[in-house]
Amino acid sequence: MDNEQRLIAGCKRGESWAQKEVYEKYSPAMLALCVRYVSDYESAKDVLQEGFIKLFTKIEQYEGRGSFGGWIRKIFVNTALEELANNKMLNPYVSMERLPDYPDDIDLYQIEQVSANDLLECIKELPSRSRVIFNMYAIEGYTHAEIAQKLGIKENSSRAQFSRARKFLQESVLKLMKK
Amino acid sequence: MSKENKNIDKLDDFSKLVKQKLENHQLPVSDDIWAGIEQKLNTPKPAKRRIVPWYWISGGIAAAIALLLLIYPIQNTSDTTHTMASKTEVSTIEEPKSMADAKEPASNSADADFSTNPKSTPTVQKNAAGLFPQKTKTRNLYTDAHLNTVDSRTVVRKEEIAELDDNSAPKMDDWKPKATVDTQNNTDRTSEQLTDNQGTNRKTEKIDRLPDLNDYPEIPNHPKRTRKKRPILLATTFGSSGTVTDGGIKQQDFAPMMSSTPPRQLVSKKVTESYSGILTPDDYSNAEHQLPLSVGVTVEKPLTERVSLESGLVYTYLKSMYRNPGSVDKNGTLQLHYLGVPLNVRVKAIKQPNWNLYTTAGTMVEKGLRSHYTQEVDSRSVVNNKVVKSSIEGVQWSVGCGVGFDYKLNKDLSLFLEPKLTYYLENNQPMSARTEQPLNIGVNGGLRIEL
Repeated sequence: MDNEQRLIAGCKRGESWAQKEVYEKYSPAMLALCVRYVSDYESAKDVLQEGFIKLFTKIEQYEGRGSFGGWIRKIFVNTALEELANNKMLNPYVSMERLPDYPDDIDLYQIEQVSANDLLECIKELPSRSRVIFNMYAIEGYTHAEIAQKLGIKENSSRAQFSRARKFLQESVLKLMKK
Repeated sequence: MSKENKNIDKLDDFSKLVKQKLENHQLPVSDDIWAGIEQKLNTPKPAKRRIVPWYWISGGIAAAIALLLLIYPIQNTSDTTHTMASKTEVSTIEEPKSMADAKEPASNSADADFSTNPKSTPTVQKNAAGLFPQKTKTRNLYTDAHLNTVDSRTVVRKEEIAELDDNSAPKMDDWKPKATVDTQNNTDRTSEQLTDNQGTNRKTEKIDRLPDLNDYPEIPNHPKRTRKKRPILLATTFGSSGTVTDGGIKQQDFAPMMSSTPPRQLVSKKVTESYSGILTPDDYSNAEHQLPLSVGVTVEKPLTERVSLESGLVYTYLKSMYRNPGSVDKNGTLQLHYLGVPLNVRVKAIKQPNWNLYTTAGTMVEKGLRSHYTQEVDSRSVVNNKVVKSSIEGVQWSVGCGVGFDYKLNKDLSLFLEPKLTYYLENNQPMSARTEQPLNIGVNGGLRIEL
């Protein structure tokens, strides 16, 4: 039994040492994920806490199909979406319609020089809904159909908002680099 | 994540780059977050609204039917015995000689009252004794006849009398003098009652009719309701209960309960003191109590049209599981078996031809039959198991009330459902759902049969 299996088994038995190890292993990445979705650091900490409680109380549902890390990530994405929905942050009227179109041409080499934290700051500036769509599609790998189902929007809307979010982000990055 | 590569080919270079940079990005986490998680994980779950699942109800009905099938042959046997006994009683009381003898002392005194005159009773016994072994029954029935108490046997006797052979019929004439004497007792009452109506003739007529055995039950002038049959009801019940605040299985921390409850025990103190290594409730951090399950057979005796008394036998099964996870993992299971005798008063609130709504209140005393406790202490290197089977000292008292609904399936059979509230008194019983949450809400269901 490898270490991850041992941790999972320990968590299923409700053993605190296993829970603590899982927390220590995944919490930094999950906090970054939460910040990407909810943008506010304090809210992200709440989502992180709530997500781990869900993880430990629902770990019996993890049947070993797919990676444990992927399953955990899904829990945190869902928890973040719940948090945004509870705070009415996924309001469809806060859309990308206000955003101007930006050109696609961008120097990727320049962007590579941008740190992850700076990129995160740029993402945080996106409106909630488009930020969520960008995160879900580009980083977490959800399809537009899945996003549309989760957010209760049309698939085309998801596509359009992703496209606009990307352009907005490019512009933000460019602005950042010019500073 | 399985979705990681799903869109990778569709992503533009910019998005790929963002993904690459942020997918595994990490941020430092402050220590207070884990403390909050740990605290929330160890906090008992908030109370949930109690929902009685349908499978409990259907299970209860199924168990009740099974019990009914089990007891039905016994009930038939009982009925047969009862009928035979009635026949014997009837044949005894029908013996004219004895009855004629029996009436003689009474004829000496117009005020003779067999029910209260001790002198008259031995005479009956003496005469009946030589003829029938059921001398006591003879006396009882004879007394019953004069008292005309409310008794379904009266009806049975009447039916049985009709079945007597012809030989007995002429002898019934011997009843006349006795009946006359008897009527004299009743005459006072009758005349009192009829005075208002100036019914002297009727009084005479009544006396003339007395020897007619078909009218025998009508000798007294008691109101008609006294002859109304109130059948005894036999019920098979199946029930379960949980706490008022929790739907069923409870998970609790011990610490908050320590202050409000007396020292608890898993097995008797005697066993704990005699054998080493038996864990106590304080050795565990979590308790999980399963829903108590009860099955029983009760008998309901109607007292009036609306009020009845219920008692019987109820078996209850309780199971609790205890845990203390950690480097030394402790697990325990305690199973308790109780047999109780309930005493309830039931009052019909709404009485309809096919259904009744009633309220019930009463008490129950339960004696613990057996306690079965197992524990496992896993210290990684060694696993120690212990099994303790012991008796349960003392009794458990409870009081309860509820409302019930019964629906008549046919003439003799009805289905009932009783939601109830029960409070278990502190009687120093082994730890269970009842000791931890004395106020329970539950539901009983089953079948009721008229005997």
